[in-house]
Amino acid sequence: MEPLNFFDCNCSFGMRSVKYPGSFSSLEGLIKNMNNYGIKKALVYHSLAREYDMATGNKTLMREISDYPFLYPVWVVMHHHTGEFPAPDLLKMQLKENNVKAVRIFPSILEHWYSISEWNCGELFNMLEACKIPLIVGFDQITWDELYNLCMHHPELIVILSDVNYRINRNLYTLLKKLPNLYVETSGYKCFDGISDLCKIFGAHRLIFGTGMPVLSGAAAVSMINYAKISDKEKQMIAAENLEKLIGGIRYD
Amino acid sequence: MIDFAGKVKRGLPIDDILIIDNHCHLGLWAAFHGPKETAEDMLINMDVLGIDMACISAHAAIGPDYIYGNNLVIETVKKYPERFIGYVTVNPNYPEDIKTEIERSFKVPQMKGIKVHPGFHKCPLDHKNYHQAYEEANERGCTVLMHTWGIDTVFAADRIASMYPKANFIMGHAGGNDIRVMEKAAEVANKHNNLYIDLALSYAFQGNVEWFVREIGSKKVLFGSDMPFYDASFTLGRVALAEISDSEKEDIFGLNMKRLLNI
Repeated sequence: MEPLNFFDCNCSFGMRSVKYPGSFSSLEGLIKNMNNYGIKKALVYHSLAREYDMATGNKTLMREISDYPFLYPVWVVMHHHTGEFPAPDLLKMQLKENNVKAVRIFPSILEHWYSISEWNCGELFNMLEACKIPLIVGFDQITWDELYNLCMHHPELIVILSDVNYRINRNLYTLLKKLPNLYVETSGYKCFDGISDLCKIFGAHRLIFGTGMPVLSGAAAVSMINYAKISDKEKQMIAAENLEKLIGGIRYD
Repeated sequence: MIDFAGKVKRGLPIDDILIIDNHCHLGLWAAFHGPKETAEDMLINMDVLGIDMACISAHAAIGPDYIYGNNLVIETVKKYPERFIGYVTVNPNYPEDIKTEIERSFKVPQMKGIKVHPGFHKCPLDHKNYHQAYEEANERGCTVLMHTWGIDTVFAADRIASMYPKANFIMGHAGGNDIRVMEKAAEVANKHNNLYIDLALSYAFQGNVEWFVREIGSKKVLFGSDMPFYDASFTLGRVALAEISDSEKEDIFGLNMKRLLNI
């Protein structure tokens, strides 16, 4: 097998409240580690947008990655009802102007603390769905029922469930069967032979490579794909092609 | 020089060094679904990665039935003596049988260690009943793989290691998912010649392998995957691609565990 050219959908940089020894926070650190692991491109968000203020972090992101064409912006977003964040029409313009390739939400009670129910986020999700902008949301951010309702209410919305773990099959398999717009980011899916089983049952097109860097190990993430007992074609799909296809479908007009 | 990165990037087995996985299990598990779980499934994974030997305890034994589980391990190591080494699991809730179960199991040559799981058996790691097992380990000079999860287990490992200097103790999971607990695990590992950590982590933090090697040295760090909970590629890649020397990788992958097992 020739080395895969990975495209990471789940990484960030910037100062954060908790930095573990051995990890990094700088953009240079991210790029260095991408090179070490054979990651050629990445969808990246700024930790300030997650841990401080979305607008500040998104703006900082655009400034800091501007010299790196292999890094694509991911904005952290929220609903507009408090006035903290733009309404969907304005947000759509901003996303387009900045060529944003995906958005993330952090609605858990420990982070941005809001409901993703339709009465709160319906307009936001309608816009993302219409534009086919992938929405990345962590497994630690929402409940299974919220995920089910989100994907059912917005069947054209591309939802990438990130930061999963290895214990989730009894719910995940059901949702992958029922929700064709649901995708799984691979970094936390270390279930024994799990990737090959998902490929066999649901198809490699449902898996999107991610690392979780700089918090989680990029080395672990690439190794799971490199050694998965699936075809080289399936590995290429997971490593990069699936994500290329999803972001290639974004339609701002 | 071994081309670790080249092999990982091409999905090739790392078959030019000794790799012993110190922390594996075997069999079904009640709390969640895994697609594969047999010894034969594990052998396929081991061959793909280049893992020579795996040290196993049974899920059934760290769960409800240590006799059923230990028998499963004994059958497996007898069937594949070149590939598997067994831990006999003891359950402190059945104290009357701890010594006899160890004696029964150690009659099989490939049964070489003791496994304790204070989490699932809901008993403190230094509970008096566990000390029967530690005394046996001390007399036999064998290795005990301890499930360490949380600061209390790390403090307990510190005390136990000092009480039984002829036994070796592995802090499985290096204290758990909390980096501050891992820091304490590193600190106590440095205090005792017979206390080690393994890398079977649920949350594999970026740079974690390099950090452990800096803190306690490569001689005290063991490769462990937690297969068949986890796919062993997860931890293998963390070591193979770590920014440490080749000799340090060889220590972690196999030489340390070879020494502990006297093989």
